[in-house]
Amino acid sequence: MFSPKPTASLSVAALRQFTTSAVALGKPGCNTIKPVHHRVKINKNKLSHRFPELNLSKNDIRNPAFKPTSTYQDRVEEHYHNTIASDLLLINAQEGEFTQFGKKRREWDGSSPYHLNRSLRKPQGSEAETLDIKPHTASNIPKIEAIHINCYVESAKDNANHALNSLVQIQQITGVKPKPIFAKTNVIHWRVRAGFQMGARVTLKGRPMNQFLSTLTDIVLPRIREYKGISNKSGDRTGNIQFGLTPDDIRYFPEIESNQDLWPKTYGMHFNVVTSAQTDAEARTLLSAYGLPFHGSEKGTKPENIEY
Amino acid sequence: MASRGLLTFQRCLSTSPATTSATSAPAVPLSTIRSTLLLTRTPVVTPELTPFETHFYNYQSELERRLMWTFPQYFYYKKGSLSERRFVKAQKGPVSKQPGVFFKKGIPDIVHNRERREKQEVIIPKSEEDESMSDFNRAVVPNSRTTKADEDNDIKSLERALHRSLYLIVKENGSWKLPSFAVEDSSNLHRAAESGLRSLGGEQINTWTVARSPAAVLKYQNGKLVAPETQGEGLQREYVIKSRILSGLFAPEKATEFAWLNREEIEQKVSPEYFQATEFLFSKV
Repeated sequence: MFSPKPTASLSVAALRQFTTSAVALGKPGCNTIKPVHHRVKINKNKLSHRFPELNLSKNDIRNPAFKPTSTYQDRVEEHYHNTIASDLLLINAQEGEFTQFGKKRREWDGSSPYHLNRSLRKPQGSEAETLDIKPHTASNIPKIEAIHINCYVESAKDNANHALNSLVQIQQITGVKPKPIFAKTNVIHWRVRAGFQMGARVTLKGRPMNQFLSTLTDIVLPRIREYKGISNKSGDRTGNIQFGLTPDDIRYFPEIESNQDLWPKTYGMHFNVVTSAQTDAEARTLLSAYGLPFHGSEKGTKPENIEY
Repeated sequence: MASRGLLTFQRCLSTSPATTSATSAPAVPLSTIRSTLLLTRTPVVTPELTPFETHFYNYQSELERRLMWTFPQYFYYKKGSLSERRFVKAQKGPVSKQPGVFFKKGIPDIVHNRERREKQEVIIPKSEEDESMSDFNRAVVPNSRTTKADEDNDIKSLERALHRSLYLIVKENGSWKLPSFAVEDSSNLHRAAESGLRSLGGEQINTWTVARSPAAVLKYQNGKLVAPETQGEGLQREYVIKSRILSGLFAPEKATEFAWLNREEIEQKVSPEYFQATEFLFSKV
């Protein structure tokens, strides 16, 4: 297929596709899908990859891909800066803090000649290295950095439409375009083959993330029956908290709820809240300030040992 | 790993007087220590926008609507259904370009039934609205940002200045200051502050102590404020404990004068020296 000279078919493939370019591509001259993106006149001269200096940056309002982001007052972000941040510093910072070093890989003692060039010993009492805990200052106040949403649909192995539906569902509740996820390997007793589309995932940051958080804490979680909260045992020890919602819980999102007919089936999903907190306890304190409830006892801490 | 997590957790909950009053604990007699309460009512509504911000957000959101993709009607209304017919009927539809006609608002630029020069107006049909979407389609009318307490300038009300942080200050011996209480024997600073607040303002108050460690220290020598780094004999210390009011009322039985004020109002009430020492505790929002 590949030839060093640019052939006619290659140059056609590199052409940007518009609804009017169907004829040039050798397709029938009409598009059966109703187009939804005719927003602005596109200056096609500026899109050519041959003259990169003519291309407009994505922040340029003349670029057809330009999208305004700061379109409303971000009350969640303002709440963090005006109310939460100073309290978190007061809660976390202690007098005379010092860096607590994590568990690191160790040198071999050299008692055997085979120790030469051997990779370092694993840390004491741990399989992996752990992070240092640095003193708490005004420059490292914990903050929510991103929310990863992951939706793996088991039934997609039999019916690929389920994977597409989960993708649209995530887009509906977050307003951000998700990416499909594919099975990486063959798993014979799950009847999953490598390359199957199995669901969708998305990473929320900034305004969409804050919008999603406030929908979750103001509308969805309070309406789930007998919802106890996120487990206090959740967390990856470095300040990231994980939780999940069932297919029934997803129905409480207003975008899904107002179009019940469209959603005969909903899909549960996992959330990973990435924070800049150094420990899970700090991350939980941070998330509580956003109105996320927690329940149960914490890892390694017995409730009777806590003095209030 | 678990032990490290526990250590951090215990540090977070650290209560021993040795950490709160630092190195001075053994040398300083308890009678010279007082616990001061910084009781906050956090903002209830969003901060007020400047005219520039209002215009900026308005412009950006109109621009976003203008650049939005066309409403995917086929996704929300099944083809050939009654609801689709109702929806299509309710839409105004763009004005198309005609030869020899003068268009006052500019020549229409229509592609696939969408006017590209303007944002798309999607009209929800009336009958749909009456049946199922009444709640969804109802116009959102926000409550007023100013309350009756604002109009009456009632500084004892918690319902004033909703967009600002308010702080409780009381009048003691003729001067306004944060409420402060003596520390009883074997009591912690935050417990002294919380119980003192209830003895002064009644039990009908629900507060949350933000942290056990004090947010600030105020030092007095011969009844006058001195710099916080001052050391020596005869110093009176006030440790400021930060707390938030969650619900309830501060309703003192005795004729204690009190006020819920924001930063600028506190500056007018308290003495200049006191404000200079406590200024950093009060939020500008």
